[in-house]
Amino acid sequence: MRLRAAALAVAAVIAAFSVSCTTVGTRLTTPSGFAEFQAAGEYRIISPEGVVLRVRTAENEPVQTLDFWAATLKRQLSQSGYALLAEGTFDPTKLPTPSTSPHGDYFEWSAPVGAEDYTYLTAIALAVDRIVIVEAAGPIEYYKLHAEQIHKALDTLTIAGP
Amino acid sequence: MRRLMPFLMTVFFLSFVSVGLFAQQDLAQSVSAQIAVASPEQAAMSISTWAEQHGGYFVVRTLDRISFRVSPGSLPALRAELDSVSFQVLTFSPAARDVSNELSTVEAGITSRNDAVGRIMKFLATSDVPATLAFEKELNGLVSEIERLEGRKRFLLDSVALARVDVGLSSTQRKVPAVLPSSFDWINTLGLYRFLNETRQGGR
Repeated sequence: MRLRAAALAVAAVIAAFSVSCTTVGTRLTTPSGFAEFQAAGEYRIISPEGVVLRVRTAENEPVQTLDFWAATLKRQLSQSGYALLAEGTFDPTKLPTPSTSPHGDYFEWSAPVGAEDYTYLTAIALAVDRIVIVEAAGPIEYYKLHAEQIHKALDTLTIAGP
Repeated sequence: MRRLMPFLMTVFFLSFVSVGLFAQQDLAQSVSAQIAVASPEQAAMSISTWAEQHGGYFVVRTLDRISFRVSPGSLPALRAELDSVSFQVLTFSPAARDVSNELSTVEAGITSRNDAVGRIMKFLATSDVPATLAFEKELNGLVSEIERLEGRKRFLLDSVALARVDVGLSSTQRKVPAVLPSSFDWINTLGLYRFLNETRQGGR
């Protein structure tokens, strides 16, 4: 019985470790019209017009719920001066999200870059012990062209494997 | 009786169909929308030009709102117009109210008061002084009620003839966001300029 418990504990540790490592390779299904490129071990895509998207992860430290992080993110960027354009949720069914936070939250902001207005997307979801962060940005007229595809792609977030 | 049945059924069917065919619905249509734009002034100008091109006119135009009237037939094209002048249509709520019943009631009210005025006018010719004074008082009341109902009728007909559109203009700001420190490390890694620098330079 003791042996069995020890084996289970080891297995759990290995599983948690492997998930922790592999979430670094988090990605989504590349929407059509985007080219994929790898940089700094992150999943990144870019459209011909320069709309960029990347997926990365950060440690869920201190351990908190998605609601907590979403509220923190929203407050931080609002106070920094970003104009909130839209917010909503998405459904990353392929991610090992906790049962308490099975969905993801996204926010679309606006801010100027030189003479142009840009849209900046920040989306987050929880995957075991990590926060999956999706960012995308581009000039508003070009972002608008891809917005629907980007929203759909958020649902396809997945752990790519080592 | 049996021979009458087909005839009665036909009459019943025809009356039912005619009610369906000729029942007129007077719809007062309206749209309330909120859009995010880079330049509210420019967007308001474009929208008012569009309204004028579609037989309408603007009622109120401020820095954050434009209200205008436009023919109901052009409402289906409104969404596309708002899409084209804005970054994003945040809300778009069309509504329609059937004012047929109210219009009928108002018209009936006008008719009945006009009839009353006509009857009083007949009596007025043969009445003595006290009765004349009483009739005049009554006439004044009726005339003012008729005017009120006529005004309501004009308002209802106008609501049917031209839809009301109210568009709120949210500015997407031209203010460069500041970099504020957060107690949480990963939150500090967010930000449009940082993101653009990191992705454009191909590193982090």
